[in-house]
Amino acid sequence: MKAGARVVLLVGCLVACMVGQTAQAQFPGIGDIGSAISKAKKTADDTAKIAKGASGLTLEEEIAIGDAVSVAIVARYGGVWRDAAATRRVNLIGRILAQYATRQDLDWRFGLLNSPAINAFSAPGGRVFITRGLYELLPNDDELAGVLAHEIIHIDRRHAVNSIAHNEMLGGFTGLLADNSGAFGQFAQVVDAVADEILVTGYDPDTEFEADAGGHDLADVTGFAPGGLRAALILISTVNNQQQEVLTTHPPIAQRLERLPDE
Amino acid sequence: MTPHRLLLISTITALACALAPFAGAAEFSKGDKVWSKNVETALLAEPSPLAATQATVGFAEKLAVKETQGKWLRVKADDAKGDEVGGWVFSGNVAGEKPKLPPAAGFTTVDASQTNTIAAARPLTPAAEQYAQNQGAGNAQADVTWLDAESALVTQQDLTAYMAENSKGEYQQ
Repeated sequence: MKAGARVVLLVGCLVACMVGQTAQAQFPGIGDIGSAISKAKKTADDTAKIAKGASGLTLEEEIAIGDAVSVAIVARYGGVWRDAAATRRVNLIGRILAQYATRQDLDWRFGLLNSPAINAFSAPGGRVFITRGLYELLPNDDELAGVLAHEIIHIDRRHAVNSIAHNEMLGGFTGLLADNSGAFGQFAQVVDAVADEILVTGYDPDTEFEADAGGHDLADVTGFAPGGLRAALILISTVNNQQQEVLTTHPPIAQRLERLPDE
Repeated sequence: MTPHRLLLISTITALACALAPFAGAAEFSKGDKVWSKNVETALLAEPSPLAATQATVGFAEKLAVKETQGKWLRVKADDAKGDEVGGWVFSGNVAGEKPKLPPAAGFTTVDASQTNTIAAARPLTPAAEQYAQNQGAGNAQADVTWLDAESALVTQQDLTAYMAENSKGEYQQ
């Protein structure tokens, strides 16, 4: 078994430990996941049933990590901007876009971060955040849709989930399965590592370009101006990045504009 | 907002709108294979959201594109049912690859009746709650909980109304 595959199996089992203990009470639809997880801890075969191939995590695991990552994002970015009207607007536009994403297994939710920074983030499991600074910069629904569509594509194509499977940051988690007392600490480490990738290091440029192209197409099929993301990026490029944090987790805007599909 | 900024925004918006008709969407063509991605997808008599339903297909059904009209596709079931099952479907309601997981009722915020959206909101998972507690992030947890409740207030009827009023999705002209 390749090292990457071992990490997938181990992380899947580790997260399953955390999810399974409590998920059953909240989600009757999950079924007897706790039992499945117990078996998974005993044999590699059972573990393989939980860790799903290259993407690594089950839906329940993805949602558990995504929820916790969302808490981390909100904590690090000044909390949620509790503006009911603006929150309603981002949920309206975001969920209309998400209706036409490939993944309909997720409960899509959209929120605003109370930060002057110019940025947007997506957490595994269907949660999308946009900073107040970026929201207030975008003049109309088309530009907002362009930004939200980009973030939806990150989730739709499991960019963070795949990163969990492939990133070396999780390489040190081997050997923890025998020590269940440390399971939650390791869950928290997984969450922090994912949050760091989303908030600090960002995805690699090709992943961002893929989200740009996919977001362009998603906005277009939904009926928003396909040039919305381009217009948003041009607007963002006018912001003085010496005074404000501007898309620090994304490739340079000029590169993104060059790679965006033609209008 | 300064006059310069307003001018810049107006110019950018006008350019984006002017270029929109030439957009290259994720298009499907005659002969392509597509897959349904909802629990139930209606195949309509005409390329309109108001047209009669001719047939329905379940999740991840393979469909063959026989004709296109704008963002609408005339499809037929790509299996033994052959010509018996077919109709028009909005291209946003199908995927170019087979979806892996069906819409999970246990994880959706609201049910079809939309009668009590806040009560139906899925709360944070217990693992995330414990994470917040351990990190001393109680305020962030409360914020996410508020956000979930606000999100749940947006119903499917709200989405449909917005789409109809603003010509989005199936309601595009």
